[in-house]
Amino acid sequence: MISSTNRQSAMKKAALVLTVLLLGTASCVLAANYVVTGQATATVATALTVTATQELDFPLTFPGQPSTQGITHDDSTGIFTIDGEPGAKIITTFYLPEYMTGPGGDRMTITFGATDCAIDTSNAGTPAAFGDGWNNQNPQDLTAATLGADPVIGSEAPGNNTRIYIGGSIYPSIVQAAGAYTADIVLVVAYAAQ
Amino acid sequence: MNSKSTTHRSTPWCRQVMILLVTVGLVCLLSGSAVAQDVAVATATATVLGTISVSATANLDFGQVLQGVETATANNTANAAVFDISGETDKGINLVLILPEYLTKTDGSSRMDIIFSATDASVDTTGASSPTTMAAGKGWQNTNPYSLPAAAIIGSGGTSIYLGGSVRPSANQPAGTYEGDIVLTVAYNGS
Repeated sequence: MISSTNRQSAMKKAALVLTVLLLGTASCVLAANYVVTGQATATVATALTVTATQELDFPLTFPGQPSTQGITHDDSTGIFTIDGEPGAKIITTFYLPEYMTGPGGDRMTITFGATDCAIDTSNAGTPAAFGDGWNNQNPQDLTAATLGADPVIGSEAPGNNTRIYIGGSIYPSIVQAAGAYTADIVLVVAYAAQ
Repeated sequence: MNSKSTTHRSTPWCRQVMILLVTVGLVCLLSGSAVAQDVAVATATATVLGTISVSATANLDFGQVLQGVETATANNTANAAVFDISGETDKGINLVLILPEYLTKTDGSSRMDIIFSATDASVDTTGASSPTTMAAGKGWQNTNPYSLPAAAIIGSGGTSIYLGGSVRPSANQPAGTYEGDIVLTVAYNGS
């Protein structure tokens, strides 16, 4: 007759043998597969930033007298500065206001002509001394189709940038309330397919 | 007292003699039975095929990408991933690619989507190992990396897998280097 102790010992041995067999089987299965790991890599280039460097500032005007600000004034032409990957193509889109808001919510019409914008890619130009790029463009239509090509970020050197100059015209009515008027000019910039 | 002692000693002696006789008899009986049996020996044989070797010889390299601009790398370009497989020529293999859903910035702070289309892989059974020379007739061109051909074999010069894909950086994707693992598992399938 087998004692209880002997029976437990036998069961433990059987379990041990079974475990060894299972491990052996499992290792055989694993050994039949061959695995290798490669990698996908990508580097995101310099982040795109756009800054409103200078406001479009119209000179003092009188009720009923239109006023125009050109794109060649270093101290009053609107200036946007775009930084990013040197030489990368970009897409630029303006969202332009139709009026400015003044005292008591009074509105004053503002318009932008077909030559009220310049895209200076020289990194060295100013409104008064346009460098290189696209001068006298329509700010409402800065598409590649119109420009002939996508604008680019500066020249092929780190730290360079592209500047956009913008002018416009305002039309105060004869009863325009006196005071300061403001409006937002929004420029959206994105990388284009290269 | 003495006679009892003598009797007590003689009993085991008799038993020993009887046990010896019985044992000899059994041995004779068994040896007679063995002579009556017939024995045949068969041989178990098996040939283990050449060990599979698989290596990742080129990464899928998207290079420099721009924020918001989807960028693709084709499987027939020098930037495609290359996996080389060697083993027993003409034997069937199962190929399984485990593909990432995103790449991770090396500092772990950001992710970027990566996608693989149904034509982003090629299986070259000529073992040319060059994505740029892949052509129709050299295996399976522009096949689905999520379901590689079940009839794939190891070619005489090895088999290579070329893999392309696309990354989709967001408009405000942080600049930096991104990586993701592509795992290839290969096993003989018995065919």
